[in-house]
Amino acid sequence: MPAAILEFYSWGDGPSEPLELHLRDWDGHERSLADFRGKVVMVYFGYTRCPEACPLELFRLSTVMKQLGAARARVQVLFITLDPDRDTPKLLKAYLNVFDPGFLALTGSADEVALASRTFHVTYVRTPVANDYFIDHTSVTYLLDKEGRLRFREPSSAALEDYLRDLNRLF
Amino acid sequence: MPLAAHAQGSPITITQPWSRATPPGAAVGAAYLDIINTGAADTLVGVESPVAADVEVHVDYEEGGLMRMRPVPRLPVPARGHVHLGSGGLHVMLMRLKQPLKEGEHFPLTLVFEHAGRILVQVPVRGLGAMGPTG
Repeated sequence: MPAAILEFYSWGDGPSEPLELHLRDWDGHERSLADFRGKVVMVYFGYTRCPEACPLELFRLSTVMKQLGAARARVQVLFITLDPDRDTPKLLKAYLNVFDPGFLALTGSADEVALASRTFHVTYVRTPVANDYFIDHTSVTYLLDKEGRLRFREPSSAALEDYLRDLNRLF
Repeated sequence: MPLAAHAQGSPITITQPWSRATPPGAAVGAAYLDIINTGAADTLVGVESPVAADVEVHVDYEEGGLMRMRPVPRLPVPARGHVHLGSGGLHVMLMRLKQPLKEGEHFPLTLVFEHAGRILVQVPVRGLGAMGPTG
Protein backbone atom coordinates (compact mmCIF):
# COMPACT_ATOMS: atom_id res chain seq x y z
CA MET A 1 0.00 0.00 0.00
CA PRO A 2 1.40 3.45 -0.81
CA ALA A 3 2.90 5.28 2.14
CA ALA A 4 0.30 8.04 1.95
CA ILE A 5 -2.58 5.64 2.68
CA LEU A 6 -0.68 3.81 5.43
CA GLU A 7 -0.02 7.03 7.27
CA PHE A 8 -3.66 8.01 7.13
CA TYR A 9 -4.83 4.67 8.47
CA SER A 10 -2.60 5.14 11.48
CA TRP A 11 -5.07 7.78 12.65
CA GLY A 12 -7.99 5.39 12.91
CA ASP A 13 -9.94 2.94 10.86
CA GLY A 14 -9.57 4.43 7.42
CA PRO A 15 -11.97 6.60 5.40
CA SER A 16 -14.74 7.32 7.88
CA GLU A 17 -16.80 10.37 8.68
CA PRO A 18 -16.45 13.52 6.61
CA LEU A 19 -14.25 16.05 8.41
CA GLU A 20 -15.65 19.36 9.54
CA LEU A 21 -14.22 22.84 9.80
CA HIS A 22 -15.88 26.07 10.85
CA LEU A 23 -13.81 29.05 9.87
CA ARG A 24 -14.17 32.29 7.92
CA ASP A 25 -12.98 33.34 4.49
CA TRP A 26 -11.31 36.64 3.68
CA ASP A 27 -14.67 38.34 3.14
CA GLY A 28 -15.66 37.38 6.66
CA HIS A 29 -18.20 34.77 5.56
CA GLU A 30 -18.49 31.60 7.56
CA ARG A 31 -17.29 28.59 5.63
CA SER A 32 -17.41 24.91 6.36
CA LEU A 33 -16.02 21.96 4.47
CA ALA A 34 -19.60 21.10 3.47
CA ASP A 35 -19.45 24.12 1.14
CA PHE A 36 -17.04 22.19 -1.04
CA ARG A 37 -18.90 18.90 -1.41
CA GLY A 38 -18.62 17.58 -4.92
CA LYS A 39 -15.05 18.82 -5.26
CA VAL A 40 -11.83 17.18 -4.20
CA VAL A 41 -10.30 19.41 -1.56
CA MET A 42 -6.62 19.94 -0.78
CA VAL A 43 -6.06 21.45 2.67
CA TYR A 44 -2.79 22.97 3.87
CA PHE A 45 -2.08 24.71 7.16
CA GLY A 46 0.57 27.45 7.14
CA TYR A 47 1.14 31.19 7.50
CA THR A 48 2.34 33.99 5.26
CA ARG A 49 5.56 34.68 7.16
CA CYS A 50 6.65 31.09 6.73
CA PRO A 51 10.12 31.28 5.17
CA GLU A 52 10.27 28.04 3.21
CA ALA A 53 7.76 25.26 3.78
CA CYS A 54 4.60 27.22 2.93
CA PRO A 55 5.73 29.08 -0.19
CA LEU A 56 7.29 25.90 -1.55
CA GLU A 57 4.17 23.84 -0.88
CA LEU A 58 1.84 26.49 -2.33
CA PHE A 59 4.08 26.70 -5.37
CA ARG A 60 3.90 22.93 -5.72
CA LEU A 61 0.12 22.98 -5.38
CA SER A 62 -0.07 25.67 -8.07
CA THR A 63 2.02 23.41 -10.32
CA VAL A 64 -0.33 20.51 -9.61
CA MET A 65 -3.31 22.67 -10.59
CA LYS A 66 -1.60 23.68 -13.82
CA GLN A 67 -0.86 20.04 -14.61
CA LEU A 68 -4.52 19.14 -14.10
CA GLY A 69 -5.61 21.41 -16.92
CA ALA A 70 -9.39 21.38 -17.27
CA ALA A 71 -9.67 18.95 -14.36
CA ARG A 72 -8.60 21.75 -12.01
CA ALA A 73 -12.26 22.78 -11.84
CA ARG A 74 -12.86 19.63 -9.77
CA VAL A 75 -10.36 20.66 -7.08
CA GLN A 76 -10.40 23.33 -4.36
CA VAL A 77 -7.24 24.29 -2.48
CA LEU A 78 -7.78 25.63 1.03
CA PHE A 79 -5.00 27.39 2.97
CA ILE A 80 -5.72 27.63 6.68
CA THR A 81 -3.68 30.19 8.55
CA LEU A 82 -1.99 29.21 11.80
CA ASP A 83 -1.27 32.90 12.41
CA PRO A 84 -4.61 34.74 12.49
CA ASP A 85 -3.00 37.47 14.65
CA ARG A 86 -0.86 38.68 11.77
CA ASP A 87 -2.43 37.13 8.68
CA THR A 88 -5.16 39.63 7.92
CA PRO A 89 -7.76 38.73 5.29
CA LYS A 90 -6.24 41.27 2.89
CA LEU A 91 -2.77 39.82 3.36
CA LEU A 92 -4.01 36.25 2.87
CA LYS A 93 -5.74 37.19 -0.35
CA ALA A 94 -2.68 38.96 -1.78
CA TYR A 95 -0.39 36.12 -0.69
CA LEU A 96 -2.43 33.30 -2.19
CA ASN A 97 -3.19 35.23 -5.35
CA VAL A 98 0.48 35.07 -6.29
CA PHE A 99 0.34 31.28 -6.37
CA ASP A 100 -3.13 30.73 -7.84
CA PRO A 101 -6.15 33.04 -7.84
CA GLY A 102 -8.36 30.00 -7.21
CA PHE A 103 -6.81 29.21 -3.82
CA LEU A 104 -8.94 30.14 -0.83
CA ALA A 105 -7.73 31.10 2.65
CA LEU A 106 -9.60 30.35 5.84
CA THR A 107 -9.04 32.07 9.14
CA GLY A 108 -10.70 32.49 12.53
CA SER A 109 -10.03 33.14 16.18
CA ALA A 110 -7.08 31.45 17.84
CA ASP A 111 -9.47 28.85 19.29
CA GLU A 112 -11.16 28.15 15.97
CA VAL A 113 -7.81 27.69 14.26
CA ALA A 114 -6.64 25.44 17.09
CA LEU A 115 -9.74 23.28 16.71
CA ALA A 116 -9.23 23.04 12.95
CA SER A 117 -5.62 22.04 13.49
CA ARG A 118 -6.66 19.28 15.90
CA THR A 119 -9.13 17.94 13.36
CA PHE A 120 -6.26 17.44 10.96
CA HIS A 121 -3.66 16.41 13.55
CA VAL A 122 -1.59 19.50 12.72
CA THR A 123 0.90 20.52 15.39
CA TYR A 124 2.19 24.08 15.54
CA VAL A 125 4.46 25.95 17.93
CA ARG A 126 5.52 29.61 18.14
CA THR A 127 9.25 30.20 18.27
CA PRO A 128 10.34 33.73 19.20
CA VAL A 129 13.15 35.01 16.97
CA ALA A 130 14.75 38.47 16.99
CA ASN A 131 11.81 40.91 17.18
CA ASP A 132 9.47 38.44 15.60
CA TYR A 133 8.24 34.89 15.89
CA PHE A 134 8.11 31.93 13.57
CA ILE A 135 5.60 29.14 13.70
CA ASP A 136 7.00 25.66 13.36
CA HIS A 137 4.22 23.47 11.99
CA THR A 138 3.29 20.15 10.45
CA SER A 139 3.77 20.62 6.74
CA VAL A 140 1.38 18.21 5.03
CA THR A 141 -1.32 18.64 2.39
CA TYR A 142 -4.52 16.71 3.12
CA LEU A 143 -6.63 15.37 0.28
CA LEU A 144 -10.35 15.05 0.96
CA ASP A 145 -12.71 13.24 -1.37
CA LYS A 146 -15.89 14.71 -2.83
CA GLU A 147 -17.78 13.72 0.31
CA GLY A 148 -15.30 15.47 2.60
CA ARG A 149 -13.55 12.37 3.92
CA LEU A 150 -9.80 12.46 4.48
CA ARG A 151 -8.20 10.05 2.06
CA PHE A 152 -4.54 10.99 1.52
CA ARG A 153 -1.76 12.94 3.17
CA GLU A 154 1.02 14.41 1.06
CA PRO A 155 4.09 15.23 3.16
CA SER A 156 6.82 17.59 1.96
CA SER A 157 8.66 14.61 0.48
CA ALA A 158 5.77 13.79 -1.88
CA ALA A 159 6.42 14.24 -5.61
CA LEU A 160 4.19 15.95 -8.15
CA GLU A 161 3.25 12.50 -9.48
CA ASP A 162 1.98 11.46 -6.04
CA TYR A 163 -0.51 14.33 -5.96
CA LEU A 164 -1.70 13.68 -9.49
CA ARG A 165 -2.09 9.96 -8.89
CA ASP A 166 -3.98 10.46 -5.62
CA LEU A 167 -6.20 13.21 -7.04
CA ASN A 168 -7.09 10.99 -9.97
CA ARG A 169 -8.18 8.30 -7.55
CA LEU A 170 -10.64 10.75 -6.00
CA PHE A 171 -12.10 12.26 -9.19
CA MET B 1 27.31 40.24 -12.03
CA PRO B 2 30.03 38.11 -10.44
CA LEU B 3 28.92 34.71 -9.17
CA ALA B 4 31.36 34.85 -6.26
CA ALA B 5 32.47 37.46 -3.78
CA HIS B 6 35.97 37.54 -2.48
CA ALA B 7 37.68 40.25 -0.50
CA GLN B 8 41.26 40.79 -1.69
CA GLY B 9 43.70 38.62 0.24
CA SER B 10 40.92 36.93 2.17
CA PRO B 11 40.84 33.16 2.43
CA ILE B 12 37.02 33.26 2.35
CA THR B 13 35.00 33.20 -0.87
CA ILE B 14 31.21 33.30 -1.08
CA THR B 15 29.81 31.46 -4.08
CA GLN B 16 26.44 30.66 -5.64
CA PRO B 17 24.32 33.11 -3.64
CA TRP B 18 20.59 33.01 -4.41
CA SER B 19 17.23 33.74 -2.87
CA ARG B 20 13.56 33.22 -3.63
CA ALA B 21 11.04 35.85 -4.62
CA THR B 22 8.61 36.65 -1.82
CA PRO B 23 4.87 37.10 -2.26
CA PRO B 24 3.50 40.59 -1.55
CA GLY B 25 3.22 41.35 2.14
CA ALA B 26 5.47 38.45 3.09
CA ALA B 27 7.77 39.91 5.70
CA VAL B 28 10.30 37.08 5.59
CA GLY B 29 12.72 35.91 2.93
CA ALA B 30 15.47 33.32 2.71
CA ALA B 31 18.89 33.44 1.08
CA TYR B 32 21.39 30.67 0.43
CA LEU B 33 25.06 30.52 -0.48
CA ASP B 34 28.30 28.57 -0.13
CA ILE B 35 31.23 29.64 2.01
CA ILE B 36 34.61 28.37 0.79
CA ASN B 37 37.52 28.76 3.18
CA THR B 38 41.08 28.19 1.98
CA GLY B 39 42.64 29.34 5.25
CA ALA B 40 42.48 28.84 9.00
CA ALA B 41 39.23 28.17 10.85
CA ASP B 42 36.87 31.13 11.08
CA THR B 43 33.35 31.88 12.33
CA LEU B 44 30.44 33.70 10.72
CA VAL B 45 29.23 36.03 13.47
CA GLY B 46 26.80 38.29 11.66
CA VAL B 47 24.83 38.94 8.50
CA GLU B 48 23.42 42.29 7.38
CA SER B 49 21.35 43.63 4.55
CA PRO B 50 19.64 46.92 3.82
CA VAL B 51 16.55 45.01 2.61
CA ALA B 52 15.62 43.60 6.02
CA ALA B 53 15.61 44.90 9.59
CA ASP B 54 16.80 41.60 11.08
CA VAL B 55 19.07 39.13 9.34
CA GLU B 56 20.22 35.89 10.94
CA VAL B 57 21.51 32.48 10.00
CA HIS B 58 19.03 29.73 10.87
CA VAL B 59 19.05 25.97 10.60
CA ASP B 60 16.16 23.58 9.95
CA TYR B 61 15.92 20.53 12.15
CA GLU B 62 13.34 17.88 12.92
CA GLU B 63 11.90 17.36 16.37
CA GLY B 64 9.07 14.94 17.09
CA GLY B 65 8.01 14.83 13.45
CA LEU B 66 7.87 18.61 13.28
CA MET B 67 10.19 20.74 11.14
CA ARG B 68 11.65 23.44 13.32
CA MET B 69 14.12 26.28 12.92
CA ARG B 70 16.56 27.86 15.30
CA PRO B 71 19.04 30.73 14.99
CA VAL B 72 22.74 30.00 14.59
CA PRO B 73 24.46 33.06 16.04
CA ARG B 74 27.95 31.67 15.43
CA LEU B 75 28.50 29.47 12.40
CA PRO B 76 31.86 27.71 12.40
CA VAL B 77 33.70 27.67 9.09
CA PRO B 78 36.31 24.90 9.17
CA ALA B 79 39.91 25.45 8.09
CA ARG B 80 40.28 24.63 4.39
CA GLY B 81 36.59 23.79 4.48
CA HIS B 82 33.23 24.56 3.00
CA VAL B 83 29.87 25.44 4.53
CA HIS B 84 26.76 25.04 2.43
CA LEU B 85 23.67 27.12 3.15
CA GLY B 86 20.90 25.48 1.18
CA SER B 87 17.18 24.85 1.20
CA GLY B 88 16.14 22.57 4.04
CA GLY B 89 19.30 23.12 6.09
CA LEU B 90 21.28 26.20 7.02
CA HIS B 91 19.98 29.39 5.48
CA VAL B 92 20.01 33.15 5.90
CA MET B 93 16.71 34.49 7.23
CA LEU B 94 15.76 38.00 6.20
CA MET B 95 13.15 39.16 8.67
CA ARG B 96 11.00 42.29 8.60
CA LEU B 97 11.69 42.78 4.90
CA LYS B 98 11.36 46.38 3.84
CA GLN B 99 10.10 45.41 0.42
CA PRO B 100 9.27 42.13 -1.31
CA LEU B 101 12.12 40.32 -3.04
CA LYS B 102 11.33 40.41 -6.75
CA GLU B 103 12.41 37.77 -9.23
CA GLY B 104 15.16 39.02 -11.51
CA GLU B 105 16.44 41.65 -9.08
CA HIS B 106 19.30 41.35 -6.61
CA PHE B 107 20.13 42.75 -3.19
CA PRO B 108 23.29 43.24 -1.13
CA LEU B 109 24.13 40.92 1.75
CA THR B 110 27.16 41.43 3.99
CA LEU B 111 28.61 38.49 5.87
CA VAL B 112 30.71 39.31 8.91
CA PHE B 113 33.47 36.86 9.84
CA GLU B 114 35.41 36.89 13.07
CA HIS B 115 38.78 36.87 11.28
CA ALA B 116 38.09 37.52 7.61
CA GLY B 117 35.95 40.55 8.39
CA ARG B 118 33.11 41.85 6.22
CA ILE B 119 32.38 40.35 2.81
CA LEU B 120 29.70 41.84 0.59
CA VAL B 121 27.80 39.68 -1.88
CA GLN B 122 25.03 40.53 -4.35
CA VAL B 123 22.22 37.98 -4.06
CA PRO B 124 20.09 37.33 -7.14
CA VAL B 125 16.39 36.71 -6.60
CA ARG B 126 15.05 33.59 -8.32
CA GLY B 127 11.43 32.48 -8.75
CA LEU B 128 8.89 31.62 -6.06
CA GLY B 129 9.50 27.89 -6.38
CA ALA B 130 13.26 28.01 -6.97
CA MET B 131 15.25 25.20 -5.41
CA GLY B 132 18.77 26.25 -6.36
CA PRO B 133 21.01 29.04 -7.59
CA THR B 134 19.82 28.80 -11.17
CA GLY B 135 16.12 28.81 -10.29
